[in-house]
Amino acid sequence: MWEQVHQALLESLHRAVFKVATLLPGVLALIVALVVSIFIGWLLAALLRRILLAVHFDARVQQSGLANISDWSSAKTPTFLATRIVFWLTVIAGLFVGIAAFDASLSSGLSAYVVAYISRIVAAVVLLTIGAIIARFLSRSVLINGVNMNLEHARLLSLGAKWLVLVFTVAMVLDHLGIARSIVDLGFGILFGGIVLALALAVGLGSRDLVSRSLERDRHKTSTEEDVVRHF
Amino acid sequence: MAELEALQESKQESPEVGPTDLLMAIPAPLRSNLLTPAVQKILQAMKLLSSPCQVVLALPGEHPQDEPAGLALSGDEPASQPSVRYVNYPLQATVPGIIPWLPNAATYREVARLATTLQARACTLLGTDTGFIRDSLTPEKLTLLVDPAIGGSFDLVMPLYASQAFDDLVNKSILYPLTRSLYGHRVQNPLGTEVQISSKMFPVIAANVVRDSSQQQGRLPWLATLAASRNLKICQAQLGARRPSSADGIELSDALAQLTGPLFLDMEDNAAFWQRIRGSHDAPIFGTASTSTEATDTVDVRHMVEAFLLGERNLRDFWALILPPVTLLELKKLSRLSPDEFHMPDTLWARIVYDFALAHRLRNIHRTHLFGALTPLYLGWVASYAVEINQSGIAAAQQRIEQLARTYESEKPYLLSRWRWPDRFHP
Repeated sequence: MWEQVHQALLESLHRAVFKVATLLPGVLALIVALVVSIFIGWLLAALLRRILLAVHFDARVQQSGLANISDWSSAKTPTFLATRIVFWLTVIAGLFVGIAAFDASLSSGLSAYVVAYISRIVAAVVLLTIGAIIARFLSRSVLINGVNMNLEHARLLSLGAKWLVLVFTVAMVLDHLGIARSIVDLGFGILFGGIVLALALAVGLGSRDLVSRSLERDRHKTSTEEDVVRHF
Repeated sequence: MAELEALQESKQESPEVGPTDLLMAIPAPLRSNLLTPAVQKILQAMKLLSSPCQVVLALPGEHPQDEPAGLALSGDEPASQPSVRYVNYPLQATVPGIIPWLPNAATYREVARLATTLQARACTLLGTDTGFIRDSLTPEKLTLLVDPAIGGSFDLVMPLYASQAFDDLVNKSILYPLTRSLYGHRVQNPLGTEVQISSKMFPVIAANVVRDSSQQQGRLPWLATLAASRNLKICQAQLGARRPSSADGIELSDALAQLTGPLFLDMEDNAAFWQRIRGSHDAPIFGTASTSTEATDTVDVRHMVEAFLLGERNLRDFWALILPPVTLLELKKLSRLSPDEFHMPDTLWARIVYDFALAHRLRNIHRTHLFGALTPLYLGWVASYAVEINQSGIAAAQQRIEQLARTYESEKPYLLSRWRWPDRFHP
């Protein structure tokens, strides 16, 4: 009996080692493809950066009025944005090559599945990025305008606007990825409806005094200070 | 080159109105009850000029040589009465949300092209504030505006308005001291709307606006900075009090963006020029100022200080993207002062404006947000100014602004350092 157990263990070990040995070239190919693609991406990005700087790309974009697009994102130049895009596209291409090599060593349909899903992930990342940018922009706009309207709770409003957009974006992303779709639909509907109802109740009931005080203050300010001070 | 092209382009079409010395343009549609007194004032001013000249009055209209509707001059004018001929030019539609009296770049371009076409020696632009033309602009004042440029002594005559201590504060706190420090000319109303330009300025205006029109049709024509950056001669004419018609519904932050934004853009365009300028010199003044010794009004500064404090509590993160740590520390100290002893040092304010100009160039944050973030700081300056000036009189207010302008000049090396090495201040 011990002989059989020993035999079974040996066979199992043999199978595991064989499996690892089969996977190893694929994993190595994946790593090599990634490293090479990072290197090529870095090279291409550096080359592109040099070319764009030589042709004064930033100044040209600024003159064409397209620079306002970059206002929505963080303070990076159009050249930086272009080189980043090239770098990451090259890395993603390298990832595809690596996965294909990995899949070839496994001889299964993994790469087709992964490639199909990666396109979804890429779209989801784009959605998430756009959502984050819009959330930040809106949050800043609400905060600054709120402060300039003398609203004491401008920061709270700004946070509300930011999280509303972020929650909306995350719901869209999860839906796009097909993760717990029905739960996301239901949860988002309840959450969004709840937030809107809570805001309506807060403004309608809880904040009645606050709003009237704010309006009263504005009215008082108009009648005294603005009669004398002329800004422009 | 662009100026030459603009000149050649404008010479292609020429309305036939005969020889012209002076083109006088009113860049606003005038109602008939305003048109007649305006034209009469112009006729009387022509008689007072040092040398007689042929005048063409340019009015907004669709057809180039229609007689203006509703003009009713009395028929008993003497034979020596100088004649005025008329020509129409297309007026650009005003954009809602823009300060109504602001000059329009496209309109200035049209007028400059028309003046080039007519081969005029000079051109007078009479602003869009029709109330000012009706109530305050006398023939004598108009002569002060016209004479220096028609005589060929100056290329640009800017208006000098008599203002109360709390009038025109954006100009007093930012526009005047900043342009003076940058371009070295003490033009007190760099955005004045009643101006006189010589023929040297026509191609400059046409070319400048042609370049800008592709992206910003409504960008303000900063004639004073245009002339200064081309070493043209500038003077000022005392035109009396001007209380611009109401600009209700325009938020302060929007107004700051409309008034200050184009100046910041000009700073980027003319960086090579203003970095060479040190100090400033007077722009000659024609006419005498009406001296008033009466005390100024008293302003309750509590709301403005509250606005500043609200900004300090909520916008500190934004300010940190624009201002260096030492300035943030100063602002923090300011927030601890009571309204009665609220005082923003001139050095601090000048550096804040310089830092915002730099942030506008670097696009540290969205430009709309930038002016929104500047608004509480500006109100802080107004509060500080009001605490000092309350009941002190107009002369004290003028001295105060002069002191601020000198501080802008003395702080210019700070701007130069930041402009050239912006990263040095942001570790």
